Amino acid sequence: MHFRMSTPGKIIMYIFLVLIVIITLVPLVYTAGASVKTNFEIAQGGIKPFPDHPTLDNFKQVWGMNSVGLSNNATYADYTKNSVIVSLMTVCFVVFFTSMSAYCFQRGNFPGRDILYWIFMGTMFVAAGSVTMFPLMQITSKLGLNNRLGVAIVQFSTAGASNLFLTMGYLKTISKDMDDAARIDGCSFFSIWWRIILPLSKPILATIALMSFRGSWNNYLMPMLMLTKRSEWTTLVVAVVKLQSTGGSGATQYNLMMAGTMLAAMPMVILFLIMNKMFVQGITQGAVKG
Amino acid sequence: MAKVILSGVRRTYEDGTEAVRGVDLTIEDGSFFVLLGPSGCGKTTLLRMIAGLDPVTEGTIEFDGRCVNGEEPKKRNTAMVFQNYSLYPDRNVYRNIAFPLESLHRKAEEIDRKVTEVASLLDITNILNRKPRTLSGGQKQRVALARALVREPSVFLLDEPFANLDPSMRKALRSDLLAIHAKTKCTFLYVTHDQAEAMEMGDRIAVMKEGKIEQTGSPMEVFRNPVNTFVAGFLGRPKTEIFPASLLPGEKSILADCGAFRLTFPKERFRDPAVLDGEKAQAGIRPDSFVRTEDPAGFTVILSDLHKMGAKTEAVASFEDRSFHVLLGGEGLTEGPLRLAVREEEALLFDEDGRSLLLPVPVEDVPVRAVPKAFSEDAAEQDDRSGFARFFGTFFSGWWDLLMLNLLFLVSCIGIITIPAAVTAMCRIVIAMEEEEVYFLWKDYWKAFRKDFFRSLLGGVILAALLYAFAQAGRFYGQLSATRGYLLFLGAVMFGMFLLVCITGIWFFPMHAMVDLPVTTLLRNAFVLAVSNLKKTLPAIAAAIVSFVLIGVMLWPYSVLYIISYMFSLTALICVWFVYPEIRRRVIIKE
Repeated sequence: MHFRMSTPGKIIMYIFLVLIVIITLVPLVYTAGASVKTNFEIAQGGIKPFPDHPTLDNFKQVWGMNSVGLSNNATYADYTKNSVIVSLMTVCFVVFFTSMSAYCFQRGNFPGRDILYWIFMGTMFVAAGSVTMFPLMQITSKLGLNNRLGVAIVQFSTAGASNLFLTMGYLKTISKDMDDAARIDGCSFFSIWWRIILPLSKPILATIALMSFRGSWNNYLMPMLMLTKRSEWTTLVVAVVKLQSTGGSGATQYNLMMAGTMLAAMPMVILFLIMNKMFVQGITQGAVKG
Repeated sequence: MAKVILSGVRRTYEDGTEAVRGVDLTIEDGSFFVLLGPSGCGKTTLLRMIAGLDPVTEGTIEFDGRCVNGEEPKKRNTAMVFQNYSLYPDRNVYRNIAFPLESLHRKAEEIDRKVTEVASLLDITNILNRKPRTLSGGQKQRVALARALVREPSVFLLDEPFANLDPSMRKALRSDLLAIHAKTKCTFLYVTHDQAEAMEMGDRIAVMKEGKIEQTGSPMEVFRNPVNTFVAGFLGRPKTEIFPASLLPGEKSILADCGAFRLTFPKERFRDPAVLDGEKAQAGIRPDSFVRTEDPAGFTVILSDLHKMGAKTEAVASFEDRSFHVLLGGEGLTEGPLRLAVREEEALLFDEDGRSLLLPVPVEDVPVRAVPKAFSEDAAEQDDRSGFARFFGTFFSGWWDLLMLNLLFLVSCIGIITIPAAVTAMCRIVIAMEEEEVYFLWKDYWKAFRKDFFRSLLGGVILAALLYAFAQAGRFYGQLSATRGYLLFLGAVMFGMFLLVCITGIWFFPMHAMVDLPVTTLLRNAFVLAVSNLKKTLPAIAAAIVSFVLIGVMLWPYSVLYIISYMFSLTALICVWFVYPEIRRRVIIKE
């Protein structure tokens, strides 16, 4: 159905949209601008988003600093490496296990499947951050998992249900005759997944991988809580916040913070700009077909 | 190359539906066997059982004397072609055909040789590098045939393979398939609902109806000697016309009076010539058994609705208040009165229950290989009520059903509202305390309880109303199967929650709206206390899981709804039970 809107309606809608865009973009523009200002200029205030003489010194300083945040011997590059490691591990877990469990729930037929599924789905309605924060910390530290691997495991498992939901929606669109054909052609339950389902569910897995990468990269709470033992393992997002207390002069170094933030956010922004179609496609696919 | 013997094969689904109700069948080695029947008669299920895709509930399936029940499909060495091709979309044609050989871990040279061989046999060498989505229907089905042929199966199963193709393509593929059969000498089992296809292709056909084999034989045998009115009606187009008749036994022959015309059957054609005078029967006349006549013994009909089909003309003939299809030869047919007669030697005669009264007419050149056994089970009583009605119907009936249902929901509602409120009020007081010892005042408790109670009330009422509405819907719209019903419902709820979450960005919004804050606060607080005493709470977690499962089993098929609605209150209760010592330790209760 084609939906038509009257001209005043359109105007109101555009005003509304522009407002939302402004509200969303102002902090970003401010951050970008402040990252090329000196701390003195930032303190001066004013509405000018970009300075007359932009400088990249802040970035140089942040990147080359030897004592960023909590640790004395870790640099910004180390934190970037940590973020990449944690995010990549999360993505690997998510892609591998979500695809596997979605296949089992969708195609498998084992006693208690439905009950297990609904309990699993029920975890979607428990806010992972606040309700389970304390137990998670306790459990991971007791298991000796308060390291980068542990963060990846926690991030993978707390997002499990919604990823599973999306993937199962996609698997439903793959005809079950395909499984039957593969069984006749000599595949076992596992090899059907490995040889047929996994290659076919590439689009949705790519979406999930992207979303988990983004979620993991931007996650603040879990790395902050879990990686306190060895602070050189901390991720970029956590380190950025700690930048405010560095610089030596005692005053909050906003210029360094902003440059750090830009460095932390850039990979995600670039990734999104390249892959935004996949983000949107995957989510709508899951929604419609699920 | 295998001989397939089915004896007493049955398939009952989990919900009690019987798809196949005792089939005995012998499929000779190297024959082209066609399973024919209307949609939903269980022929595809039977095929899937032979392939090993569906389990056999009862009876045995033998390949060359080896019982294959419970054997994995790959061990049976069957190949199957599906109606919708089922090609692997991410592989090109070559890799699709090679797939079964790859599964068998064959060497690359052997795979290459066989794929090329089969591709040239089916004339698809020019499309080996293309992906399935770029192919036409006919090409896809050729690829599917090639994939099935390449592993040289002992039994070749085809599930309506040409149903999605246009007629000319179908024709071409049919003759190709027959050529392949002649060349490979493999046992073919072909499922179709198209009687013309069955007549054309099969060495032998079996006609199925409602999970049972009605008749087995060569196509002509079955066509000439249908055992009952169903088979007579199913084979041949237009359909065989059935006329009610009464029998008049004579000395050497028996006369069947059909009103419009009379048919004379010699007594030696009857299975049992001892018929009563005036016994009711049914005469089956194929539309092409009617002929034009000038003989006064004929009967006059009014022809209408003429369709010229080349040499023959199909028309509707009316005699008094009855009309039937006729297929007449010759030129110069016009609408209006016409004198007809019936070729008596082609007429069929059935008793009142539709079973044939006549002995089979010998049909030339066809060896009789398999004879179906007689089946005598009663049609199982079909319970078409929804799972909900079935479940409650076992306990209650009529208005009891309704009353008990309402009572059940009343109890649920009270549970949903009160338990969390009571528990939360308790926890609030406990958690709020900062000093080591707290004075517990009932007055404070009731205050907290009232506050939580009214909050919960709103959420509880909404939840209860949803449950109630859904239950009533399930009751009155029995057509909707239980599973679909609650999946639909839960799907809708989840989607609504998703929307809310998307719009508000508040993850917990649905929970606030439904059962409100108490439960979440409680869970959070209980968790903190519980985890700090992990040893003590492990049995509690186990108890919670066991209770969920028990409730789920008890209330099947509505367990999902109940589990979700009870989950929170039950967890709360159990948590509080274990947190209670903590409360006792730290709280001094004052009356």
